[in-house]
Amino acid sequence: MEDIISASEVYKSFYLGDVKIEVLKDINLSITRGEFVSLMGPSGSGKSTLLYLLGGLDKPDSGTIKVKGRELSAMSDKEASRFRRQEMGFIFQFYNLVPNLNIEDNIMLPVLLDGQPIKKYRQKLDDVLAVVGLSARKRHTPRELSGGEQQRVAIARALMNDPEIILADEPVGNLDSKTGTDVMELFKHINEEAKKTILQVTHSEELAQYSHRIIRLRDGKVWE
Amino acid sequence: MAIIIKFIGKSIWGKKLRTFLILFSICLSTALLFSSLGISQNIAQVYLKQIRSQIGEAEIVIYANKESPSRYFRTNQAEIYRDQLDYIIGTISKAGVYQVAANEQTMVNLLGYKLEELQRMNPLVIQQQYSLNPFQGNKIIINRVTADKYQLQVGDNLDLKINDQLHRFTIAAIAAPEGLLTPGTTGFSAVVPREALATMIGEKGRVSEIYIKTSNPADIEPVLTSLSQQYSRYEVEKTITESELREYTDVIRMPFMMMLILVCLISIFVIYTAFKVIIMERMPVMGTFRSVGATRAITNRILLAESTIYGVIGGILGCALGIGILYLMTYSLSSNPWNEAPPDVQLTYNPVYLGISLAGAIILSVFSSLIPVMKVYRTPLRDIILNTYDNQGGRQKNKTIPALIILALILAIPPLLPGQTAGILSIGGLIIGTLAIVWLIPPVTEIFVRIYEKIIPYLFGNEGILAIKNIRNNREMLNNITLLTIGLASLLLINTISFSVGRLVSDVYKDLKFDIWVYHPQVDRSLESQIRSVPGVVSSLGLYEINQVEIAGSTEKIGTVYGIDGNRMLDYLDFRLQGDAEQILQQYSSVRSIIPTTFLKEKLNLNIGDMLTLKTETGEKDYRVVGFAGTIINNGNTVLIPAKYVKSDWQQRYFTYLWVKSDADPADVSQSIKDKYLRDNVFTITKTELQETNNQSNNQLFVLLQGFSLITMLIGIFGVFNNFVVSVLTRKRSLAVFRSIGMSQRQMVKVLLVEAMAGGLIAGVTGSLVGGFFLVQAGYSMFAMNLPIEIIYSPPLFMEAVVAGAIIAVLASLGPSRQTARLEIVKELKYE
Ligand SMILES: Nc1ncnc2c1ncn2[C@@H]1O[C@H](COP(=O)(O)OP(=O)(O)OP(=O)(O)O)[C@@H](O)[C@H]1O
Ligand SMILES: [Mg+2]
Repeated sequence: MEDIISASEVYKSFYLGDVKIEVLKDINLSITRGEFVSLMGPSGSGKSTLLYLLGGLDKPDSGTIKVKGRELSAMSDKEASRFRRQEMGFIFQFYNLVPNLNIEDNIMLPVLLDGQPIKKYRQKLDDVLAVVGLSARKRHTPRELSGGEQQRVAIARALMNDPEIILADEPVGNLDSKTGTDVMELFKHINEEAKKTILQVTHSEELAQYSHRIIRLRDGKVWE
Repeated sequence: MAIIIKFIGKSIWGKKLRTFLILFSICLSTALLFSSLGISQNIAQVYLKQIRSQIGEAEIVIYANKESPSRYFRTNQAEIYRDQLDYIIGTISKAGVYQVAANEQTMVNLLGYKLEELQRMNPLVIQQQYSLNPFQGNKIIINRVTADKYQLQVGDNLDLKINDQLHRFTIAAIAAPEGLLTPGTTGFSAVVPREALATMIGEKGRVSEIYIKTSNPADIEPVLTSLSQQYSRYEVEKTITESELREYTDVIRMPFMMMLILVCLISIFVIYTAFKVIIMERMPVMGTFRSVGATRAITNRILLAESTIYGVIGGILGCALGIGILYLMTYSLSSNPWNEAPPDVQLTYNPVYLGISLAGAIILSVFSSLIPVMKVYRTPLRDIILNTYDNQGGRQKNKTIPALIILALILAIPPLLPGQTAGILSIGGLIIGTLAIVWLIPPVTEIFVRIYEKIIPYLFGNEGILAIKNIRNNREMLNNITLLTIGLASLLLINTISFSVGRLVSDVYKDLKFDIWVYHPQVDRSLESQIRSVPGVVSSLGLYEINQVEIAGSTEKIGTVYGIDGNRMLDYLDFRLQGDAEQILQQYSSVRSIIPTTFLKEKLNLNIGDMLTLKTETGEKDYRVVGFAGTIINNGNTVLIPAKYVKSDWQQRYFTYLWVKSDADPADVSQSIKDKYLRDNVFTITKTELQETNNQSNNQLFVLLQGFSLITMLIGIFGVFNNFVVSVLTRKRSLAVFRSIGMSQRQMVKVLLVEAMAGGLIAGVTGSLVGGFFLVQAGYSMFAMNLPIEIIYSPPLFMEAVVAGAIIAVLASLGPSRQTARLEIVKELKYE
């Protein structure tokens, strides 16, 4: 099977004043199409940082990252944006919904940004809302929802454009264990039925069991 | 505590642009406050100075009027009060002619004084002299401008024709072109020995004016009363009256007050938004302070202390700027273009005003920051510490209905009230009304969003849809719209008023149908027919003018009563009769009638058929109102009464002046009249000259006002720009979310610009509405000031305001949108 995501010799560091913090040191990994992978590691080990790099939200200091055979850092802003809209769904640790847009609008954002006529996506919207169980909350604003509900909106948004890859940063970190396992079941379902590739960051060995494979990060390096 | 203070200091110093903006707006508001407090006093000072430059410190003046037996009289009846007086100075004036060349002559205004008296009352600045003392015989003092113009030197002879007789004077001194010898528009003035001039015109021992100054100002009134009895057939008046002064200063002060209010409104907004950002930035740190035990009161005190610091610094700077502005205004009003030396300007102001202004600055700053601070006060500790403080706040209460009611009241009530009260109320109406309009902005925006939803998607695609969604429920955008609204409204107000006043002035002259205005102390039929025989004169109309006429049973006075012939008046001035002019004029000529202006109609609440009772020389007389005139001559404070009634009721022997129509160049005709009647003290002025002098005196004021409106506009636009930057910055996180799910940089710029444009258009429309509202209020207060300026609502100007709203908004968001398009997505998403 071909690699849908691959990273080789990726380095990333941050400067805090004059102090250089080397977060990622020589990362090499590959994920094949249709895989469900969990990324684990202690807090501060660089999991989120790596996920952002793989999603093209940030650029590595050196090394190459390829998604669907294309090198991310070589893309123009326009291409990279299109890529994020169409090929990837992002779910963040802190939901990141737009506060002044209602649930429906938040979920529709990727479609809007893609220049698609929203009318054609009404049905799709109802489908994803049903999947995350929020059909009744369409018109509410994010602030009127609980943390777990907001996270489910974020998941719905990530599914809206039918991306091939879903990148999730602790998608159930703020949810109770019942809802957490529900979301994991949902992921498993999406992975198996819709053949999506999923990379999730998690702290829980139990939730990691839903995935096919675990990549462990420690001291900025991959330990498999 | 020290750490907190250090922290504040750092933040004030760290954000230099913001600090500058806050200080700038406080400073400007304070400066305007200070100058509008102090301006009356200084303008009055300038006015007094102008009068004093002619008559020094004299308090009482006695001169002949039309009823006096002669133009010349003796000083001896005044001399009996000598021990109560500082001085009694008699002067005699007479026109002479200077034959410059064979075909050129000019008028000389000869002023006869005893030199030592003149030097006591109103000293000349002698620059060169030649046996000046004793100042007797045929000596003459001219100013330097005249000397240069005709190449005259001290010791030279100067031949002047007085009463058709040639007299040879010797130039005994050349004085600075100021005070009594300030150059005028026609001819030149010169000082000669009083007795010599009196003898030349056969009035030995007599004077034409007496100036009096008392030793003790408390004596002015009693002396005035006794002198009026002594000189019962002459005018005995105070040189300067309170009401004159007030009228003069009010006209200048009112526009300042208006602008002050606008500047304050904008400042409040600028400070409010700035503090909101300050607080948002501080939230995490405040949370930390709170979590380690600082009480709510302490953290709030920190914020209020900070706004007080801004208030104090801005206030001090503002007071300094205010003094500068006052100085500049006073300077420009009192400058004398002929004098190279800068005018000596003494600025007077009450030190209390400095205190008031400083207090005003602090109140302004603290008050404006109070709203955001109060909001933090109500924020639960948990939210502050966890930094989940939400800028968007809850849904606002709907204040549409109360806002509409308030607006309706403000617009409906003043016309029902007497002018003066309405004028004062309109200032309050301006403030409350603005508040009500601010409440109306969310519903208005909602209406616009509905309209936009139908249009914008077709123009700007999905980015357009997103932009509309962003406008809705977005507090930052509402703030932008509000600020832009106030800014545009101020712009409209200022522009429309200057436009209207300009139009008013030019309109007055458009209504004038005569070409030359001829004044003479004793215009009778024979003089009139002589003037008609001057080549170029086609026809003339003599009229009577009575000023400050009291209305029986009222405290109001009519500014000017014209005694004018109904048959011919419209040929000379378009009085803009309301309704059927022919019918009105027919009635006007047939009964003891009166035609008030529409301004007086409203002010005095008159209707056709009413009787208006005026106090005349022959007692109270009733006049029937037969119609109204829309004329704005004399600011519309005018009535027309048939000439024959004015002649009899006020016992007028002579016309006050003549209006002359000519078929040749009015300037030439005017000159021929002058030449022919030079020795008779005929004064002529053409319509063009009249307009020019008027424009000149208006210009000074307008330049000042325009300077101020420019600053008002600047701070408004500056505030709008700042607000747009702020609004984009506070939305950084949402914008990063957009980016993360695939919005390209171009899309982001597009969305932000469409948002700005759509918001700007809303502000343009609301700004026009508010501007219209401001103008109505301004109209009320001007009416109350006896300035019935017809506000000209110019549709193109309002259209421009709408477009300007969109352009300003787009320009203001150009920078920040391009900057945020390049934001680091991850950083914004992870850290707040
Ligand atoms: N923009 C940044 N500037 C400076 N340091 C950063 C930045 N982003 C991340 N870091 C540092 O990089 C390290 C890795 O951060 P990252 O968020 O990737 O950790 P993580 O593994 O996701 O941790 P957690 O499980 O707590 O979410 C941390 O030490 C963090 O402080
Ligand atoms: Mg993380």
